[in-house]
Amino acid sequence: MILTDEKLIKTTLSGDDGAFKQLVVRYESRVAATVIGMLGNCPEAEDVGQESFIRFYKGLKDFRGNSSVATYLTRIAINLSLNELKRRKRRALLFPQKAAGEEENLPEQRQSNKYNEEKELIQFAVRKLGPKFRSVFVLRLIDGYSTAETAEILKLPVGTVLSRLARAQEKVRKILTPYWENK
Amino acid sequence: MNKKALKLLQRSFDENLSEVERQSLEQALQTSSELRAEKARISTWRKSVLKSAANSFQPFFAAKVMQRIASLKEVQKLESIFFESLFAAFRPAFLTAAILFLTLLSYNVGKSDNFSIAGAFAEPEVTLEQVIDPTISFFLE
Repeated sequence: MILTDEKLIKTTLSGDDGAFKQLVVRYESRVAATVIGMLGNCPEAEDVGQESFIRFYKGLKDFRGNSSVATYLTRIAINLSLNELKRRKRRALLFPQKAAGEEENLPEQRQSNKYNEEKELIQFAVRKLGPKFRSVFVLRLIDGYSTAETAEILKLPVGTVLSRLARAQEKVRKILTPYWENK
Repeated sequence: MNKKALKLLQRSFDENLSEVERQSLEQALQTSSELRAEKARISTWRKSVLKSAANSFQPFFAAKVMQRIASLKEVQKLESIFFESLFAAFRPAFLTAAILFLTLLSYNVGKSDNFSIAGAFAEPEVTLEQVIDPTISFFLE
């Protein structure tokens, strides 16, 4: 029998951490899509992913169910990812070398016109976006949230989300077009 | 390609167009093969982006999260034991000190017959002469 999120949360709060593990398994892919979309596939992404669930666990007794568990977790994941991007920026000022996941160019061997690893290409292009454009792009186009849900998660007006989304898409397409045209 | 129609097409993927805008776009799509091709390109591109989503972290992710939670609970338990021990150790000393303090205050009040805070702390009584500055009399006269 598949237990609802509400039931799993109640069971966790009554002392059964096994119920929380089921929630982790259920939402790992959702959180991974958000965090890896924001930070790239790097060790920090795994840490941020774990921290997202830890924060959720710590705040379980205050979770009122006003939003779904998926939305709530995504909000935590996005905020922690944005914090990590700020940390990277500060580290880059002190130690100017590219952090993992923020490569300037694709490695030489991948710049061939025959390169067809679309997924890595898209992830590379997304990482060229600034944090505020990256977050709307990841939530809307990678996580698949609606524009309204994206605005709710980021606590932004819908108009701002639309404008950032348009600019983000334009930039990503500009980066990817040369590769796609040469396919 | 009609720029206005292209703009409407791009907006249609993320916004709810008005009825007028929707009809204008439909008409433009019917008459322009270029616009239809662009719509197909945008749809394909967006599907590729959606498919590019990572769907998991490293293996045993859930186990690692639960391990961290178990460690967290262990630390919280140790902290609780520490503060309880601290309180248990200092409670007798605190109670003794409180009793001694109250005893001293009572002794001071009893000795001075001055039932006030000053009396309890054995502060010297203030006389009228100390309150009134004697130099004032020069000015009054």
